[in-house]
Order: sequence, then structure tokens, then C-alpha cells
Amino acid sequence: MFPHSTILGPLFWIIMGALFVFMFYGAKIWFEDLSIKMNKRKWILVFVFFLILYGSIGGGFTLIGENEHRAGYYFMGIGGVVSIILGVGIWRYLLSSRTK
Amino acid sequence: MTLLIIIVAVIIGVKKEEQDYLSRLNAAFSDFDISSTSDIYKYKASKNNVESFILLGESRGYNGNILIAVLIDENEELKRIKILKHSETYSFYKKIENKKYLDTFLNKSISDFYQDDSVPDAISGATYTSGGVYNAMINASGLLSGKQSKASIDKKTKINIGLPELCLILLYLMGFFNYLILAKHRNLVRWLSIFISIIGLGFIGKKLLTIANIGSFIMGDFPDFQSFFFWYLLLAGILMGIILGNKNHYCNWVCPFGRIQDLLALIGGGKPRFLKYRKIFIKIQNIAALLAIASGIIYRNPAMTSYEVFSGMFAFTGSGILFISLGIFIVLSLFIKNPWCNYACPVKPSINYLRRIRKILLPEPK
Repeated sequence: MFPHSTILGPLFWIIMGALFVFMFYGAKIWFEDLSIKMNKRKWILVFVFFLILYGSIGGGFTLIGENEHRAGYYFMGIGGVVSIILGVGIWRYLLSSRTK
Repeated sequence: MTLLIIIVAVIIGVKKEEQDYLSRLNAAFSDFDISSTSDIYKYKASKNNVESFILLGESRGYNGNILIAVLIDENEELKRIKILKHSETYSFYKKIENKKYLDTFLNKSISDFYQDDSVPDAISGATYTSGGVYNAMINASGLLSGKQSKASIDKKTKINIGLPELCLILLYLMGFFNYLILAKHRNLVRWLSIFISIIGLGFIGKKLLTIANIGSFIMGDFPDFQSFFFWYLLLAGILMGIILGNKNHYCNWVCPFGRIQDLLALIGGGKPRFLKYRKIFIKIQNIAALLAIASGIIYRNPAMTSYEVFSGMFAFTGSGILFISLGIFIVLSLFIKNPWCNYACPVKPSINYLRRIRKILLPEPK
């Protein structure tokens, strides 16, 4: 990522890691706010969705960086559509289990 | 009005075709002096006082006939090969071009084609197109040798019944006899039909009705019954559904892309939307379908104006625009019930047109 620096690379990943923690912690509070009772299975689904979304963006840009523009766009396109479908499905599933 | 436009398109198309192939022939061999012979498939070509032959050959591809011109020099070697006319699906034709299929025959003697092992490997994913190109070339070179190639890809004499045909029969049966199925089993049958349609017809068979097929039928370009039994079965099912009950069983039961949209609507809770503007959308859809079919007929290549997104979904081939539209329609299907079928597909208006004709010819009793 930062080939000419020894510190920026690890620093970047530390910040990314912290952001992921904040994101999942934020999600937990958000679900509580929406009265969605989360369990292990639901968290796994959310995690899988996040992994596919993150993988599509990360993988796509990696391919573009490797000068495989076409493959990168296709990768992001297919991954993006899959994550949208999964996201909508999981969102509806989570909302259906809302406690009133 | 629609019928009139189609008839005019057919007349223009037939007139245009004759001029087209001669002008393409002259353009492809513009560096030669071409003179015709008594045989319309055979031309003499001379350049720097060296005489060669340009031979034309025709054979069936995937959507229609492929016309090829080959330049054969005094040593009976193939020096140039040009496709003058075809009506292949863009993605299949592109595969032939990208793999430089025609170049594999260049500088070969035509006697090489009469060896048993001379049939080249078909291009994967464009088997019918590459087979059609090869057979057309064999037919062309056969004009000079007067021989029939041993190795030409034979026409099938048996009816081709495989998984797609069986899936199609099953889906039609489910559609036709749906009313006989007990209410408690209807859901199961519907799920079964979705599975058969998407897997059997879509991803394995890759056989969907497109306006390229409809255009070919209107142009009178009927493929041979044995090799293309599936298309006749498909057509018979559509016509039977319309004649017997004025129902569109193809769109409701058979079409794999329609079933994918059904699944997506189930995931995203898609409902029929924009009902207020429905009439305007249908008009636009009908006009787009008519324009695509008519222009395909005028240019004698119905596949050229085919704008369906099916090949991107099931064969993973197509242009960038096709993939973008496919992505848009897939995402829309999550929120709107069957957006492709209801607002964009050119096949549905074509079937509905037949239903309208049926209504006029066989009015239902009051």
C-alpha cells in the first residue's frame, strides 16, 4: 500500500482495524435502537454480508491496481450486485424479527 | 399497423440483402478485379495478371445462415476468408473473431479439408456458429474441387432431445395443467418450476427466447428440425398456450430470467409499482420491441438489434452496457416485481401481439 514508508502501512491497518471495531459496535447499538434482537446466527449473516462487500471493493481495486481494469470492474460489479441482494435479504430478515 | 411495419421491413430487407452481399464482396476483395461466372457462388479474381477464385459458401449457424467468401489461389490454397452475411448473436460472433478462428484455415490447401482429421475444434461457447462457419467454408471450397468433405460437420438425422428439451416439456406441462394441481401442492410445483427453469434452461441449457429467434422466424429462416428441435418445441408450446387458453405460458412458467426476478422479488419484497404510468411504459416497451424486430429484419440480422440481458446472466458474455443493464435490472427486481418483463423485455410484447390476434380471430364467448 505504501511502498516507500515503513510506518504508514501498519498505521493504515491499525486505523482500518479500529474502524471495523467501531463499525460493528455501531451496528450493535443501531440494532438495539431498532429493537432487533440479535443472536449468533444473525451476526454471522451480517459478518458474511460485510465480508462480501468488503472483498468486492478490495478485490476489485486490487485488480485495477494490477492493471487488470476490466477484471476489476467485473469483480466489483458482480460482487456489488451479490452484496446488494444479500444486504436487502438480510435487512428484511432482521426487520422481520423485530420485537415490538 | 404493426403487421404493416413488419411486412414493409421484410420487403426492404430482402431487397437490401441482394445489394449488400455484392457490395461487401467487392469491399472485401477491393484489391482484385472481380468478374462473375455462370455460377453465382463462383467469381474470378485477378491481380497482377494472376488468376484466383473467390468462392461463396453458405451454411446454418446458430440464428440463421452464414455466407462466407474464400479466396483460393492458383495452388488451391486459401488466401483470404471473409464472412459476408450472418445473423449470429453478437457475443458468439465476437468469440469467433477474438479466437481468430478464420485465420486457422489460411494458407491451407483445400485438399487438406478432405482428410478425416481436418475438422478443427469448435469454439467453446459458440459451437453452432463455429460449426456453421466451417461448413460454409467447406461448401465454398467444394465448388472448386467438386468434392464433398468427409470431415464436414454432419447434419443431424436424429431429433436432438436433451436436458433443455425435457425441462421445457416439464415446464409447459406444469403451466398447462396448473389448474389441476391441488392447492396445497401448488407452491411446491411453483418452486420446482423455478428450479428447473433457472438451472435446466438457464444455466445448463442457456436457451431463452430472444427477438433474434422471433426475427429469424419472421424472415422465414427456419432451422432444421432435428438440430433445433428445442426451438420448435418452444414455439409449439407458446402457440398452444395462446390458441387453447390465450395464456402466455412462456413468460409465466418457462423464462429463466423471469423466474430469477420472481426469486429476487421474494428476497426484497418487490411489488408491482408505478401502476399509474403502466400504460405509458407498456407503449414504450411495445415500440422498442417493434423497432428492434423491424430493424433486425431490414438489416437481415435479427441478432444485431437484440437487446436482451439474458446472455450476460446465463452465458456470462456480452458487452459492458449489457452487464450494466443486467445489474440495474437485478437490483430493481428486489423492489419492483419483474421490472425487466414488465417494462423492457421485447419478447413479452411479441407474445402479447399473438394473443391480440387470437382475441380477434377467436373471440371468447360472452
